[in-house]
Amino acid sequence: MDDFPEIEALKKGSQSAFNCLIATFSQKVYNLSLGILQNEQDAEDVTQEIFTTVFLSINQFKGDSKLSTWIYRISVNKCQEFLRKKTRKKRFGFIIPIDKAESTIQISSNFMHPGLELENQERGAILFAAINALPENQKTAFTLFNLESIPYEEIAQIMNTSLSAVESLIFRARQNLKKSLSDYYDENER
Amino acid sequence: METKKEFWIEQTLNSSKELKSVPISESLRKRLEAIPQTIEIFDKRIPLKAIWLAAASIALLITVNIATFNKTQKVENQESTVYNEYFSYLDQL
Repeated sequence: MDDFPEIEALKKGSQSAFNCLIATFSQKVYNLSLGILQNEQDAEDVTQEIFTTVFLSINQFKGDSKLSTWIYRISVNKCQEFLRKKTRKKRFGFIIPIDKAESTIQISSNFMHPGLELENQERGAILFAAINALPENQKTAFTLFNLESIPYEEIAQIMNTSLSAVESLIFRARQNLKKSLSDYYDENER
Repeated sequence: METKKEFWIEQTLNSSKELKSVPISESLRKRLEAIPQTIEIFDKRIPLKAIWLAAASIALLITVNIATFNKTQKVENQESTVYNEYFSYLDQL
């Protein structure tokens, strides 16, 4: 369960251990945030928030799981929290009723993931918009598995759920994505 | 037609596999490395003693308010009892 040897130094507040933590995990955390939030500036801000939380609560880490799992769990929670706040603000700003808010989601994203080659950017934007329309847990599970290549067992630990629940979430996410993409194809690509 | 559509859907779904990990920017790395100092400055700026003092003051203020409110209500109740007794005495006359 030890994927970071300098954990004791980190608990004592060592700057060099913290720098080592940043070197090891910052890119993973940033990419996960980018995948969920689909906005580079938001991903940077949330990454900073995640590492602040890690620094402040590292003494609460008991070592029951890998440190990376614990950091991923914080990351997922922070990203979901951020998205909920953002949705609340939007809903308040435009006074969209809750029951209509879900139906307003359409595949029309302009998010170009910087990790995609130019020839895949357009296709990627369509996929990200479809992922964005998924329910929160399906979106998280799909992002962790497909974009970050995290195994099912670790996703279950990150999301505090069972292995079968993760399998089901990813299966339903794929089904929903296929349906959204099929509708999009019928409207635009034919 | 359906095959073409299914092929397009599969290709779009699989485009996530082409995704490359994005390195963090230099400015973000600096922001992250500065976290321990930022927290230290915050800790130094607000001493724990001051935080406890503020909390105690607020608690005291709330207690005084509740006590005053209770006392005022008691006086009001006493006054209304005196008035009731006086008027019932007048009624008897």
